[in-house]
Parts: sequence; C-alpha cells; structure tokens
Amino acid sequence: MSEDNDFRRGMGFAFRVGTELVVSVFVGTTMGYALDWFFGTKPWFMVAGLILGGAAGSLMVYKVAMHLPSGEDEDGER
Amino acid sequence: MESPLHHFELHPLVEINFLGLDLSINKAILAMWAGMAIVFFLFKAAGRKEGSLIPGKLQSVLEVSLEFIRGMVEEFIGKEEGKKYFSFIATVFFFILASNLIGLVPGSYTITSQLVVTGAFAICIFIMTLVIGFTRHGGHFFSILVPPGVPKIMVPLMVPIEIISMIARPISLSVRLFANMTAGHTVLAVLFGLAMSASLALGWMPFAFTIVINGLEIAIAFIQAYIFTTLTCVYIGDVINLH
Amino acid sequence: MPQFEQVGVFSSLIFWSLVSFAILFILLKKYAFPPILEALEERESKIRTDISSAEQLREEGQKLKVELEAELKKAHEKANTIVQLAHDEAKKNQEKLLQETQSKIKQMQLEAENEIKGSRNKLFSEIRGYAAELTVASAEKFLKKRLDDKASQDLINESIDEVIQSMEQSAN
Repeated sequence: MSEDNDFRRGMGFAFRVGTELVVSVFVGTTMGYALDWFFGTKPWFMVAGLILGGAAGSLMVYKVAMHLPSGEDEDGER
Repeated sequence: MESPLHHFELHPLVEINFLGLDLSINKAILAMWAGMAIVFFLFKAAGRKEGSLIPGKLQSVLEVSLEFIRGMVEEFIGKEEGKKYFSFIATVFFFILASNLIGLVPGSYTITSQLVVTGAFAICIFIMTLVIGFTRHGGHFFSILVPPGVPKIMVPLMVPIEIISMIARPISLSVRLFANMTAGHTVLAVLFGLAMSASLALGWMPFAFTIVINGLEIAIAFIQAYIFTTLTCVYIGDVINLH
Repeated sequence: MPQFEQVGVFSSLIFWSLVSFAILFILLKKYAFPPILEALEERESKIRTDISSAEQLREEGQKLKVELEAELKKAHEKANTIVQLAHDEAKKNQEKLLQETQSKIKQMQLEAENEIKGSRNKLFSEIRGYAAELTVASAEKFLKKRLDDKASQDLINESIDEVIQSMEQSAN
C-alpha cells in the first residue's frame, strides 16, 4: 500500500478490465447457449448472446475508463 | 517430475462428516486459519496501546491501511453509508490479503487459488448487493438495468446487456483472483521443481528466479486483494446510489 | 487441474472459508477495529484542534505585531516631532541671536558714523572760526591802512550817501 496511487489505480484498471471483457463475452455466450438449449433454437440465442456479451464487456471497459482520473492524457477530462 | 499442479491437491487431515457433508479440515483451511490468526493478532497488538497519541510502527502501518480502506469506501459507497460497510470491506481486504500472502510461505496453501472459495465469496457479495438493493429501493431497484440517458428504443437492447454485465461481475471477481493466484503459484512450483531437479551447477538459476517471482507474487497478492476489495465497494456502491 | 477435479473437498472448503470469514469479521469488528479507529479519530481531532489553535495563536500574534508596529510608529513620530521642535527652537534662537548681533553692529556703526560726523563738524566749525578771525583781523588791518587815502574817504562818503538816500527812499 506504499505504492504510488496512480500506479495502483493503473494496475487495478489493467487487471480489472482484462477479465471483465472476457468474462462478459463468456457469460453472454453461455446464457445464449442455455436459452438455445431451452427453446431448441440452436445457434441464434448464442450468437446474440456473444454479441451482447461483447457489448456488455466494452460498455464496462468504457465506464471504468471514464471513471479513471485522467492525469496525463487530456487535462481534467473525465 | 511430478505435475506442477500437484501441490494444489488437498488431502483431509481431520475427517469430519456432518449430515453427509464432508467438512474435513485440510491444509488449505489450516493455512487460512493461520493467516486469519496473524491478521487478528496484528490488529490486537496494534490496538493495545492506550492513551498514547503517537502510534508505533505496526500501528501506523495498520492505521494507514485502514485509512486507505476508509478512503476507498467513502469514494465508492459514500461518506455516511460507507461507515456501515467499513468493517465488512476491511475484513474482506485483510482476509484475502492474508490468504494470498500465507500461500507464498513454502509448503503452505493459498485458499484463494480454489475457484470454489473465491466463487463462494463473490456469490455471497453478489447476493448481498442484491439484498441491499432491494431493501433500499424496492421495485425501483430494477432501474439499475437501464442506465440513465438511454433512449427508449435502446432499452430492450440495454436490459440484456446490463443483465449480462451484472452476472459477469461475480464471475469476473472470482475468476480474476483465482486465476492470478493459481498462475503465480504454478509458476513458482515449476521453477522450484526445476531448481530441485537440476544439478547444483545449474540449479541456482531457477532458484534465483523463484526469489524474483516471489517478490512479484507479493505485489500481486496486494494488488489482487486491492482489486477484489475495490470491486466489492464499487458493486455495493452501485446498488446503494443507483447510478 | 485439481481445483476443478477434486470435487470432494469443495464442500469443506466453502463451508470453512465462509464460516472462518464470518468469525474473522465478527472478531475484527468487535475487538480489533474499534480501538484503532478510535485512536485514528482521536488523533485526527487532536490534529484538527492543534491546527486551529495554532491558527488562532498566529492570528493573535499578527494582531499583536500590528499593534506593536503602530505603537512603534507613533513613538517614532513623537520623537520626530520632538527633534523638529528642538530644531525649530534652535533655529529661532540662532536667528534671534543673529538679529541681535546684527542690530548691535548696526547701532555701533551708526554711533561711530555719528561720532565721526560730530567730530568733523566740530573741526569744520573750528576751522571756520579760525578762518573768520583771520579774515576779520586781516580785513581790519587792510581797512586801517586804506582809510587814510583821500579817494577812499570819498568813496566812503559816497556810499554813506547812498545808504542815506536809500533809507530816505524807503522811509517815503
């Protein structure tokens, strides 16, 4: 905890965003797969789930990145 | 050479069977208890000094960490609301940190490298956030599925996306911690196995690497505990403040 | 991976970790955190009061300083006026002295001039007296000698006549 605040935030951001993106896609796809299995509409829900999962992951990354205090890149823009 | 994953296997030390459930105590649980005991006695020792306003070394370290957690809670949950959850968040942090660190002692075990454990914690936190959300906001809580400022046409698209990201939260929370701990320990085990099996002339090289990786692992133990705790704060804060 | 294959230990791991976490949570919340948080709070409040009292002291010091400065300024002014006064006095004295001296000198000059004038007049009058006496004496002698002549006797008669004539004229 004696690490620099920015460094810690950056590390947290990096570790967080990577898994969040993958897991979102994975969850979307799995949910689509489950719905397909339930309704018997083989690939369609899974495809939709894949896309939605990707969207969810990107949205999450976007939100987290917007929350990150940008010190270097653009002055004070949040 | 045995599998580098071999040391993740657990064998019961004390067999306990309760209502058909196997609740045997094994190495992982003992290591976890050791970590917990260290945490508890550190805090006990730090808090013992009465009357003096100048903190000792240990006390100031723990105070800085508590202050840091308090800042985190205040940032993500809120100043007044955060007080209720401070103890819980701090316990999460120190529990995970102690579990991560105790696993770096050779021969012990990291309980956070078990996906079922991290998953159980993540699901408990997830359920907790749902309970908090529903008790605070009632039916209005469902509006968390619709982000503010989204046009009406987009709502059918946003709801599944938000559901996916809600469900992804506990999974990513648990998988991240599990994966980082497992990976680090596997690398350490492989290097250590190499150091043991190679001749003395070459054996020092992987051994030196082991030390370097160990240092890295300590940093990762802190970072992962920090991330798990931060995200717990964020999730609780999200359901309390609803956008 | 044993973490996925060893299904048998899952129940005990989940159970014990959750139970242990709960126990740790209760223990820390009850016994460990409060004294440390209290100490933190206490220190924080102490620091806050210390800072505020220091601020107050500083302000007081500032006020005192301003007052002292004002007093010092006043004293300075007073000293200045005193010096000025003394200076004025001295100047006045000097001027007076100068004036007195000048007037004295003037008077002395005047006196000396008067004296000089007086002595000159006296000298002139003496000289005039001598000159008159001399003239009278010489004229007497001259006249005595001339009156013996005939022509002069005639001239005198004539002038006496003239005088009588003019007296007669004026008597008319």
